[in-house]
Amino acid sequence: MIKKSGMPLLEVKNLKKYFPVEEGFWRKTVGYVKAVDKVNLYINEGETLGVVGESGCGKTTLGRCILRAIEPTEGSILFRLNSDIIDITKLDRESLRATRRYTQMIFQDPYSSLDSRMTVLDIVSEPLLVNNLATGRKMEERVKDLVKVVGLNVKHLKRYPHAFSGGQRQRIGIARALASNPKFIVADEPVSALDVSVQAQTLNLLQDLQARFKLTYLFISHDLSVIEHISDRVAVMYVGKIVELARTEEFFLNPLHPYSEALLSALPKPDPRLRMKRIILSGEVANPVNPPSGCYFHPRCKYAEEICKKEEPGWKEVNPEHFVACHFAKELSLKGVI
Amino acid sequence: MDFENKTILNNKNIPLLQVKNLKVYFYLEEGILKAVDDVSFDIGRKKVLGIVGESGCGKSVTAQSILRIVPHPGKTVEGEILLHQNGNLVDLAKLDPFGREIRAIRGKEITMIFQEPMTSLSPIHTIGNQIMEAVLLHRDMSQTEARELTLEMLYKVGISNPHQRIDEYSYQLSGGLRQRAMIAMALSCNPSLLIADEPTTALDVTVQAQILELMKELQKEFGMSIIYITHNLGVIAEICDEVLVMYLGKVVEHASADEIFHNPLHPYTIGLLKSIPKVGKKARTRLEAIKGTVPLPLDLPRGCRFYQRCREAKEGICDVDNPSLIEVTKGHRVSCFLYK
Repeated sequence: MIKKSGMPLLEVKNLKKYFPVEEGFWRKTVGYVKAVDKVNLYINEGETLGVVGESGCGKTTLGRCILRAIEPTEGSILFRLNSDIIDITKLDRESLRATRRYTQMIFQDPYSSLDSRMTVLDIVSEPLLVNNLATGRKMEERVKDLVKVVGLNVKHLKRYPHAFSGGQRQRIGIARALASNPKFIVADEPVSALDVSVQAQTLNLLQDLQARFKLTYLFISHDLSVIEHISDRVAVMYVGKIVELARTEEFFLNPLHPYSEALLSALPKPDPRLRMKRIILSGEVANPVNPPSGCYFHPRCKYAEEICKKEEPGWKEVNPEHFVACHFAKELSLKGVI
Repeated sequence: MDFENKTILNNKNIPLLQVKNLKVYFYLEEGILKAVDDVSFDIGRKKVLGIVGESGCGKSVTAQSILRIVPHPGKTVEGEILLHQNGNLVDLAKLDPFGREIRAIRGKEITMIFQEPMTSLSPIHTIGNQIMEAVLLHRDMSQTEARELTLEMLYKVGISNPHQRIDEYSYQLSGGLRQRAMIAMALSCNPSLLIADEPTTALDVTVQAQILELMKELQKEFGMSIIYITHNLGVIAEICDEVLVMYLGKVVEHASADEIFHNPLHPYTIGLLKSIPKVGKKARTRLEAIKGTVPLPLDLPRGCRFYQRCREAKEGICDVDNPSLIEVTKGHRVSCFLYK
């Protein structure tokens, strides 16, 4: 894979996560859900990679596999730490724990991701205690700094999560993720549960923090407008596979995969003068237990031909830094956003 | 099946539904929560009215009060909800919420579809039986005719293989199909008003596009009016003729969709439009967020409810009085002291 701007911070190679489908009393494995299937990607330091896709496409599983919150089935995840490159999939328990402080996660639901019996102080200080980074007064100082950084009131440290609104809870979650000075953060739909005006505040906060602490984000969302707003590059997932990966501007103006084109067309635009004929995909996302033959997208694709039913398309770099998995990536001329 | 076209029978100039000075309060231990506070609007025939606002703005309660299904301890305290029905005028706000009259209207004249098609469909009845129940209750039909109509409705909402689907349960259908079944049920009695409360929020974008397209087609075919409730401005722009922007139980702006998006007047509407990321715009710019969060509508201070978050707020004016909703240009109403 070509790296244009130095060494990537993170490189994922051929990552797979198969969940067994069990049946009967003896729990015999009858098949696999290929939640993440042969995924290749890289993220440069200080960059945001947006992962977009519909529900069940495997974007959350991908994020969790990269942090090894769930065990990947196969593949390697190379993470650059100072000058060393470590393979996260090969780490033993102890060294995995040690690297955890550099990789953190922000969750979608600010209600269920915070322990309702812990105060803000408890929640934000936990990563500090677990990683032996600070104790006592030093810890409290650090928590106060973090709480200020995310825009919460320092006086509220002793309060419990229920006393906060959704947007404020999400800020607590962000402060917790920042506590151990991570390099890399997986943000899994961090703004989907928030109101529009609060969503904008949270997106601004995430961008400010990125600039300030040189953070690298893997930003997972189903909302293309949010993805365009925050990402440097975009990866589109469909039934466990990445079908397209490109720089954000390039992706939105010149998508190369028919699924990307349909996603862009389906997005309702906030302007009644732009009402237009959309590409309406027939049917729904394929079942990952029993995906179609060849290209998984072919039953819904209007450009599909014989070869799409038989052969799975390869992962090609069609333009510089623009990867796509489609047999006709070079022939089709697809519409981006106007 | 021929659906009578109600619109021809009625005078076009009379709106289908008029809501006047509606107040719905929830009496809680902590105080009185004014979920809907002095809301007035009309819905014309064959029109799509969008109600947009953030959580807690009262958009769902407004819709529920039209059907008289406001959950306990909410009460319709004041106001009129006038339904013009074949020359008759019914004030829904005066009807007994458990009475015979409202039950004849609910599910027939006015129907509703919800955000969560999984929780609003019965898990122990087949899709077909649920749709037939509504048909048998409100229309003079035999079992066979009702089943015939149900099949036709399922076909019309784009469910492939209706003969098989009619005998399936809701858990056997995907999210998109369930929402289609809900729409089939809501339209089976040929209502004059359909209330759609965030019907596509739980769906994926590509499925959302399918459902929106379907609703537009069906609206043309059946000629009903729609109240479309959502927080998504993109969806509003896509489907609505008129838009009502609500904030903390009040209507802050009411205008045609084109006016709302191209000539917004209220600072809240302007703020909302600026705070959404727009596709196709240069990425990586800062969003202009509205400061603060929506407060709980309990014991609100005097003055404009948007005062604390407003950029244009003027001390001595905005924190003293509540602005009233006034018509600035024809069909464009706004409640803000900037336009007095």
